[in-house]
Amino acid sequence: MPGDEGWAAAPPTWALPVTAATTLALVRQGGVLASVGPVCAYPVGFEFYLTFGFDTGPDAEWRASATRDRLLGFHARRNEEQESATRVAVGFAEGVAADSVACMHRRPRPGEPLLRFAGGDSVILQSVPPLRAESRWWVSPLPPPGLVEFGVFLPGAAGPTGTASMDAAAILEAAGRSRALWPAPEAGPL
Amino acid sequence: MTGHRDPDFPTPATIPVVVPGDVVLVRSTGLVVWAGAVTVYPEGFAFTLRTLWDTHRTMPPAAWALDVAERDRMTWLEIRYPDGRARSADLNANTPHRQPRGPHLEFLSGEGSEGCDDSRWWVTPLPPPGHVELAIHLNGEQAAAGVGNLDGAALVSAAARVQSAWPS
Repeated sequence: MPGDEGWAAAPPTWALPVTAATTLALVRQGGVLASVGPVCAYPVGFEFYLTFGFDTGPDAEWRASATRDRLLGFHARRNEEQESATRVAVGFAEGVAADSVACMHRRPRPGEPLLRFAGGDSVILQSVPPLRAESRWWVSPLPPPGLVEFGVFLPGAAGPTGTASMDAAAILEAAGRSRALWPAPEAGPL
Repeated sequence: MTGHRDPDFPTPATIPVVVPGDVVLVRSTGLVVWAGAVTVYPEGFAFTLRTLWDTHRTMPPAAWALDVAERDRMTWLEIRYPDGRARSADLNANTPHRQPRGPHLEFLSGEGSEGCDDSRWWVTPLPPPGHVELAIHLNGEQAAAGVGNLDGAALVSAAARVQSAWPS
């Protein structure tokens, strides 16, 4: 939580990440691929890479339902973007979860983890191949023991388009090997 | 060589395989350069370069060189394969067609903030087994500020496990 020790609004600039060799397939249907990996752990959270790919073939199944040029986009500032945003979710074993669109518009509630876009590609446009995007997402704090579940919601999907989970032990083990390089600067506002 | 064509970017048809093996290229007072988060595709691999500096006592290194002429004052990256093939990257002057056997080193994305610079790189084709050397030249220095080695055999082995969902 904001203000807590063990929490950070962004990947720390005072510690080196440690990569956990994890690959998770979330979506593999209709000419759409989504996967998570690698996961890079820090003392105060972890970053994961989320990769999307769309089949560029003329007969790809996703084309039947794609009405907008924006196939994928994480930003949800404008009304139109909120309708067409791709959502990302991360859940911890204790039942708490974070949602990328919710985290864009409000501070995390007590007990909620933070999930925030941390870099890479934020959009895929049909008109701009290759139809691929690799993004990075920051989650803080570290998860409790148990499963960590990742989910993605493609535009218009009521439920998750795909989910996959991993054992938090791999993240916690990697985080335990991450070392501070120098004192952390004072935390800024969220 | 993989027998695949060597695209400018990772193809969207594959789920990459993650390879462990983070390396530290530079570790000096108030400055660290790390490479890791390696993902392997049939045609090549991607990695992240993360430069961290202690804002209380170290100035950030110079930005990436945009062309060869800027190498006397800016920062650039080199990659060298075990068979001697090598490439120095410049953001606008990476010339794969003049070196068809590669390696081709391509800047994919980057972000910077106070005390941190992140960049993501694509390398194609895959290397032969052996040490893949990454060297970084900071601030126009002719000698590398630091070198790290990736495991070429691990990259090749991982590529064999990649599955494609549809023909590229």
